[in-house]
Amino acid sequence: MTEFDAVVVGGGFYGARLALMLGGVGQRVLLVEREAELLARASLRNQARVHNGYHYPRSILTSLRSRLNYVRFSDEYADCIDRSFPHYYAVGKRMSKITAAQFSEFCRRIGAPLTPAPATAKKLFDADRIDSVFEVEECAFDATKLRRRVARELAIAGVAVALKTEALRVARRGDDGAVVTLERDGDELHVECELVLNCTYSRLNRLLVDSGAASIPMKHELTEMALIQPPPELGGAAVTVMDGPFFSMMPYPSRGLFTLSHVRYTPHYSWHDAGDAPIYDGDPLLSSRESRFVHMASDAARYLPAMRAARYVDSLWEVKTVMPRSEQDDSRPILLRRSAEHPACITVLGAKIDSVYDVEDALRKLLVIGAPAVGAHA
Amino acid sequence: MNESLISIVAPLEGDTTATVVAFVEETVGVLRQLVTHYEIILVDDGVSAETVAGVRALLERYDFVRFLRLSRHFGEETAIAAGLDVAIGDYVIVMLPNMDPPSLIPEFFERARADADIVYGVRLHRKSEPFWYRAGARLFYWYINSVVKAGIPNDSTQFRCMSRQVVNAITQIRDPDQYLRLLTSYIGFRKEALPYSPINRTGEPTVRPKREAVNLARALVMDHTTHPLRTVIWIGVVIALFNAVVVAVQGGELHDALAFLVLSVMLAFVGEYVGGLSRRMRDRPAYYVREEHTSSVLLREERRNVVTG
Repeated sequence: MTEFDAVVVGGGFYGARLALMLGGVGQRVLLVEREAELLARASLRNQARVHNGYHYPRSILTSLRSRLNYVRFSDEYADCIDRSFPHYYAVGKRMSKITAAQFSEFCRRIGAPLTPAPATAKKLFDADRIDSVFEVEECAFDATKLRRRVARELAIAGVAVALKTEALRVARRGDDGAVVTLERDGDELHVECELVLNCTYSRLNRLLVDSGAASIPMKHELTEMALIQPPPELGGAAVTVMDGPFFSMMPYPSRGLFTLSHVRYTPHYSWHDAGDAPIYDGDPLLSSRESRFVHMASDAARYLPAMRAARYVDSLWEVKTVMPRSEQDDSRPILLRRSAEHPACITVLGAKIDSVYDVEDALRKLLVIGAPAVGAHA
Repeated sequence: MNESLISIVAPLEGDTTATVVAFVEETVGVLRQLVTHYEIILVDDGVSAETVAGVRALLERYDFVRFLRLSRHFGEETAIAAGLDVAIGDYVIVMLPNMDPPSLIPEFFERARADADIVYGVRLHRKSEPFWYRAGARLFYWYINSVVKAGIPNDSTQFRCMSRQVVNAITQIRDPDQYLRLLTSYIGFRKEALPYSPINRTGEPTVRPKREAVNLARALVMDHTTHPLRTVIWIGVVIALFNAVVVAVQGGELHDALAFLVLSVMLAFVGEYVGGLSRRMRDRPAYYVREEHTSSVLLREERRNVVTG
């Protein structure tokens, strides 16, 4: 049996950052990842958007936090950031939950830069369906560069990283310790530790339930983002149409392509973990679906006619997990919860790559104070 | 198989779950054989809670079904307009679930693709309708086509297939009263009629209530033309002249009464148009959407894979 101070389960961006944080205060840390690489799942398969507050007009608190984290993230990871493209936010005329005037007032209140888009950009949109077009300041991150950098930092900090290794379950050891059962190449091994961080995102209830702990109510979505080559007329711009059943198009630097996502078509299927209901494993769904690119592009072309010529290359499939209560009001709470059955095990969930700072702050507090349960709001 | 994306727009009003389920099942079956991509937009314009639950269950069985719920009952024409506003297809087909047979979708689509921008359905017969309704319809079509020349084809129904260009032209018209049959006539483009026999899924009488039928006829006429207004004005002028002559010759109160009657009739018509104008002046949205739901389907072969305890 091997011994560590902490085992972090899940080598996504959050797991890696938290492992670094613990390693930084002198703890012996093991980071466990099921895939062959770090940042291989939800940290990789997403819009690559670093949020600068614009996205949450119905939750001013989330927007303000998002603004702070934007500056911090884009400074700290300046070498992994792509700022080379213009970014336009267009406000839809019908079905939008916000008007152009409300959106500019909202941006003024949160202090987010917003200027009317140049006439050449405005011309790209269908004036009958789009109220106004603004240019904003919002960048994209390169997940591959981020992975390399995080791996380097983990090595320097002396964090042990076990790839292709799955944490099967957690058992109690004494009053406040734990034993984590790992599986690698069909072999089971056991690791003793004082703290387990469950950073497994869509699989967090899987680990909890298999460890005999109660599940946490969660909503999962099987999501698809199309990877496309946008038509040259768009000049490499990112486009986000607010605020309703609309689409977004962002550069995806790690593949040199763009993601096209759509509020209506990106979620293919959704389900809930609640109470004693069986836990679904969403992973088999990732390879069973047909792309909805045609639907996404057909709708996008109604607002941005040039999108008729967008070329489909590939799709990013991922299980997206959110806390059910954050659906209504745009708020993006982070979750940090100590398991009642396994006091050494803390489950961590955040929604955006840049809210990692909020999670770190909350975890620092929790570990020092040692409160039994905390649900912090970002 | 054709690579176009077809949108079906179906307003639901008072339709039962059985009707909607049968309609969606048949439509999906037809579309899967016809094109690679499709969507079915069901617009809730006042269905029972039971039907809402029935449609929500459909969203878990069939992919690419959208359920657009208006905030209240706005009427069939507005519900169709709401559906056209959100439809994404290269071709959009409007259907009434109770009376339009999905088996005709391929014919509508093929003809629209071949040589028409709009293919509209025409009833082959009105046999199932009572005499008064048929007579009223005959009178309406005679007036609107022979007298005011609005160009609404005789016995045309809502069942129609339109190209994206046509849909874009129609959705640009932001009129609070969206009468698709009038707008179709106004925008032009190439049109073709497709005669068919409507079905009747519920077996119940399908004619509109009298008052609704008369209202619809009145609105279709008055939205299109000021002909009735001009007609009564001229009748009024002629009678007033006649009245003046008669009074000049013999005097008497009967004629005053008649003149008053004519004035009242004129005022009624003027009132209608002023009412229409004031409605337009308000310039507010023709409808509001309460919520939109979309399919969330777990395929059968997937079901085996995901439940793991």
